[in-house]
Amino acid sequence: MKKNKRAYFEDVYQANKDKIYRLCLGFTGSNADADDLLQEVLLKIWSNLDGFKGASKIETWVYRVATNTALLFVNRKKRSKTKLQEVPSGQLNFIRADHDPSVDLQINKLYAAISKLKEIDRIIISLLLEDKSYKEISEITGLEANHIGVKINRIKKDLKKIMDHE
Amino acid sequence: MNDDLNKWKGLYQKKEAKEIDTNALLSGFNRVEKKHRIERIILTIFIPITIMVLIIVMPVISNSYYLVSVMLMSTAMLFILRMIYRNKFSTIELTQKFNNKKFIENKILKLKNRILLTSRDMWIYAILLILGINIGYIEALHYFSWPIRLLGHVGVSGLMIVGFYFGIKNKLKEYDLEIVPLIKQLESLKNEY
Repeated sequence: MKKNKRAYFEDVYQANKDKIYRLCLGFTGSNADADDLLQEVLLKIWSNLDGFKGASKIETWVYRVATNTALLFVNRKKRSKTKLQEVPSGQLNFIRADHDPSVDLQINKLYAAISKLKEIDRIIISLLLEDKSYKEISEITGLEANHIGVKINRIKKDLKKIMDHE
Repeated sequence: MNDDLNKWKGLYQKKEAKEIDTNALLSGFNRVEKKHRIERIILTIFIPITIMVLIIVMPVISNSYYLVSVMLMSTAMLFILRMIYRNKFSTIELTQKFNNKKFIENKILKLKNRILLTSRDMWIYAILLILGINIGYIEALHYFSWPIRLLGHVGVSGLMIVGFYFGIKNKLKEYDLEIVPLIKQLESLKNEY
């Protein structure tokens, strides 16, 4: 593995970069913070790649590293009194040029709304929006699988409420 | 609500990461790893070198006071090395090892232990070091009169105790600003489960 670590990392990176970035963006609610968090997550993945024993799927492992790093990152941001940038709809600058502007606005609104949920809820909804199963969400968050359904219903209501108020 | 969810999924998954130059990224990561490796090497070799210097400077073979003194100071330094390693280099493992819930629980435990152990370990280090130095002083000052010898022992011990007292107090103050709020925030996260 040591010899091929670089190639392995690149494979893991290519396969997961969009998902990690989306998680980071939903978590932080700001482009700049999402970039910082993404870098931190990638560094942790690189540093710990040798420690991945294959007990779970690599994607689950990557998510575990990313979400745990995000939990501390957000708290560190709060402590350092760096006010997390509130993301007013329509002001995010992360949209691909080939998107319809009205769709772009809705994307911005969605990410801004996710970033306003509680930290654990941000993780759960991000995983759900990536089509992760309840079992996978349970493996990553540590929530009991039979509680996830209830929690998701509550999060969906909260998210809708925030989206409607935007 | 399911319509909303499907719509959100569609929107959410449209976002993609910017392309990153992985060569530049990895060379940056390698620099960070190299820096950490150098820090670890410096820490690891610094103490054996200090112990070697003490052994060379003090005639430990022919004098049992110096021998005990060097042994105590070496134990103190190895003890503090263990503490530095535990605090500085062990956190990275947690992120990959546990799910979020266990990660939060373990992190809280580790942070609480860090506050308790820093104070306790620093005082153990201080006592071993002070004891080691004083035992060495028994031999080093034995040519002097009793009052001077007593002044030497009391002076060095007093200075070290005051130094350690304020050092530990400052460290705990630092923890009050950094670690205690983090513990509180992690505990509120834990309560969300």
